[in-house]
Amino acid sequence: MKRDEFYKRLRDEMSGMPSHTIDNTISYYEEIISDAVEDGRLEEDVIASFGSVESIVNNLLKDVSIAKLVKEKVKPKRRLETWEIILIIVTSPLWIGFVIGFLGLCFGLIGGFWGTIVALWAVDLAFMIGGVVSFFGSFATFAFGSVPLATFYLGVGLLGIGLSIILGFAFYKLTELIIKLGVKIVTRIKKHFVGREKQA
Amino acid sequence: MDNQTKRGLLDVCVLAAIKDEDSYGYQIIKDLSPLIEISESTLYPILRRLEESHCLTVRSVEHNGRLRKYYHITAEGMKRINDFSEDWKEMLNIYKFVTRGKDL
Repeated sequence: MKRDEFYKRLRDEMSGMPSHTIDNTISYYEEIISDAVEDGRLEEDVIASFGSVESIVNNLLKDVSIAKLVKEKVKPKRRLETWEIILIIVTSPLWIGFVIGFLGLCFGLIGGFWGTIVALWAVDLAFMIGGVVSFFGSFATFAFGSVPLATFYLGVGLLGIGLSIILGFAFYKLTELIIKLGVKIVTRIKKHFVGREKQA
Repeated sequence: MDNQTKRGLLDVCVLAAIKDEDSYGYQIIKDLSPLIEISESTLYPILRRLEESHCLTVRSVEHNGRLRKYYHITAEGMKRINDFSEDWKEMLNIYKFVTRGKDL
């Protein structure tokens, strides 16, 4: 790919992001390409070494908040006519509902993810507490002379502690997975705000 | 190395590359690539992040009829490097303790 095509594709893929971000990114790559060519490398090779345009934009999206993208999306591209402003105000009960709905969805997702993580660790903690209490309780029971019951408590205690340790490892992996999934979903949502809309 | 550690290391590496004198994107990559895996498209978000956190400043200098951006480290950036080296001194002691008497 030659540089002009690369810039065009980058600009298309980034459209929807704040315009200064787009300009800065393009000028960064312009500089890198010029420096590399001056260094004796082939333009096409340098551009190929950047990886796909999509992955470049995905990387950049990680640092741009959804709020910024939404703001950029709703920012009018030209000055609004008076009647358009009136129309926006008149229809506000409708679109405010949509905005609140969207925000609710975002908060719901975040809450859902964190809720799941908290729940997992609460289960683990419950096993641990139950196990420890039962373990020490068995000594007290033993002191009162009830050997079979004490052995039972000891078993339950050890089982609880053991389970909580094993589950701890599993939940740790699961937590990592949930966070990764969360990041993926957020990136997906962000992706909807960028990229030139396909012509019908 | 996990992603989070690598991300932190890359930030400090980029700062270290401009510690003694101001440098530009292509040169930073050339200086760092023998040490750590870094590409043009990974450097850019790092530079942006470091600029936003006031660890470096940017100025444009004319070069061969075009503009080239030079990155300059700030006091905040130097602090990041110092914090990093303090942390690693501690890590190194732990490492020595953990691997003592072993042929690792």
